[in-house]
This record gives sequence, structure tokens and C-alpha cells, in this order.
Amino acid sequence: MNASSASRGRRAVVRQYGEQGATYLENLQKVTGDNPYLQSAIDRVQQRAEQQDEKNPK
Amino acid sequence: MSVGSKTVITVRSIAAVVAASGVAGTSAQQAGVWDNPPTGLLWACILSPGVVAVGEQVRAIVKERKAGSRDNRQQAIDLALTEAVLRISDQTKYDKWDVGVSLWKVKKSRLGWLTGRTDVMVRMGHRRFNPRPTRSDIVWTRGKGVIGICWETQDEVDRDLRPACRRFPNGACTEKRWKSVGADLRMGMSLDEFRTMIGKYGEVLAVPIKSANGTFLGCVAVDIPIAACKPDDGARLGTIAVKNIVALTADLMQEVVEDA
Repeated sequence: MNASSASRGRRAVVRQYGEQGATYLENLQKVTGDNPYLQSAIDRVQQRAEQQDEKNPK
Repeated sequence: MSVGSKTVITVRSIAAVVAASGVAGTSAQQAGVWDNPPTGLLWACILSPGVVAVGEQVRAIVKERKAGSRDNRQQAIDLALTEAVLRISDQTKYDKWDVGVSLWKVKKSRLGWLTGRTDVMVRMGHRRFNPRPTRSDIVWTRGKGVIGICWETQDEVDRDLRPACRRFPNGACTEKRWKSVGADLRMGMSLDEFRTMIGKYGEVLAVPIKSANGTFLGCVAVDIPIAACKPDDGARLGTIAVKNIVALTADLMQEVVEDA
């Protein structure tokens, strides 16, 4: 993931879940290791947040 | 012993008998004790031990894969709930030892229409660094307790129970007083259940977990023991920031709950 798409992803998560939510996901990402369930859940949440962001741009 | 384990024992016993019969039949034919056996039966005797052995190997592989998948799922739950505890503690200033976060899933009753059993909530995970308060053995159904109301309304529920804790310290409620307790505070509980629960938690928040098509799957619930709530402070779980953290946990857990 390049820097601009990471930044876009974070912005989308912040818009949907607030700054605390973004921090939560970042911390969770650090401890995920190779857990496929958690990685898939994180990816899906970020993807949905980005889709929401695209649908409702401010 | 569960029905599942009884079935496994029965199937494996039958498999063992089939394999043993196959070996005995083949041996008897080889030794000339069993003359002119039907060809089909003889082949069954020859092949059955091999089929049973292969079946056992496949069963062992499937069991191992399921166990690995279960371990991964439980680890995913534990990690997400632990992080939620830490973030909620940060946000509310409740001590991280006191914040409890649980993951609940609706367990559908099989043949409920026939057996009269209702769907219930089962706890898939729980995180509180302090082991107290201990969990109750109440069976949570639709409409009962904060999580049951979350299920019924399919919406987040945030309850400040500190006034109720002051009114009924340690759940002290007589049958006479029980009659004056409104439905809002009874939350679908019986008097015994009310005595068990009221006085235990000062604040509870539950946020639903829904599938992509909007079906209620379960909820993520946060609770704060009454001992951790300061009498003069306001409620702290009802802020947007806390609800966002719990909603995110619920969204993260959607796939895990669906897959369980």
C-alpha cells in the first residue's frame, strides 16, 4: 500500500469511527501477526469505510 | 457426554467392526476356512480396512484444520476485545482493569418450534483484566437485560444503572418493592435475575453486530462494575467516541461471528 492510499484509508476510518477508531485499528494491525481472521476483518472494515467515504464525499 | 461425541463413538465403533470383519473375512478365505465366498463380499472384506484407515486419516486432518481455525478465531476475538478495553479506558479514564468488553452471538435453537426452546445469546469472548465481577449464569434471551434489549431493538443501548444500584444496593429488592419496579429497569428479568444483576454494574453499553443484509447476529457489550464508578461523576460510556470504538469492534467481529 502506498502512502497516499494509506492516508486515504485512514481518513475514511477517521470519518466513520473517529480518531480513536483509527488509533484502535492501527494498534490492532501491529498485533495481528499472521491471524487471517483479524487481517481479513481489518481489511474489510477499511474497505467499507473507503467505500462510504467515496459515496458521501464532503 | 454430548450428542456429538456419542455419534462419533458410534460411527468409529462401526468402522472398527467393519475393518475387523474385513480382516477376518480375508484371513478366513486365505486359510481356506471360507470356501467360495461371493466375489462382492470378498472385495468388501479386502477393501474395508483400507477405506476405514483412509477415513480415519481424513477425519484427523479435518479435525486438525478445524482446531487451527478455531484457535485463530479465538485469538482474533481476544486481540480485538483487548484493544477495545484499552481504547475505552483511554477515552473514559476508567481504569483498564475495570473495563469489561464481551462478544455475544445469537445461538439459534434447533427445531425450536418443536422443542419450545428459544434462541439465546452465547458469549464468544470476554476481556476484563480484573477477574471480578464474576459472570452470572443467567440465560440472556431476546428482550432480557441490556444485550437482550439491543437484540430486540436491533440498536445500540446505553444504560446508566448507577441510580438503580443506589436504590437496590447489591440487588436488595423485596417482592413488595419489585412490584414498583418499572419495565424499563426490569429489562425483562425475573426478580431473582434482577437481584443477581442490579448492583453489579454501574454502566452498560451494547452495540449490535449485523450481517451485510441487516440480520442481527449478536452484539459487543461493555460493562463497568459499580465499584469503579465514582458517585459524583457523570456517565462515561455514552459518548460518541466510546460508541465509535464499540461500533468498530462490532464491525470487526461481524465476519468472525458469521463464521462461528
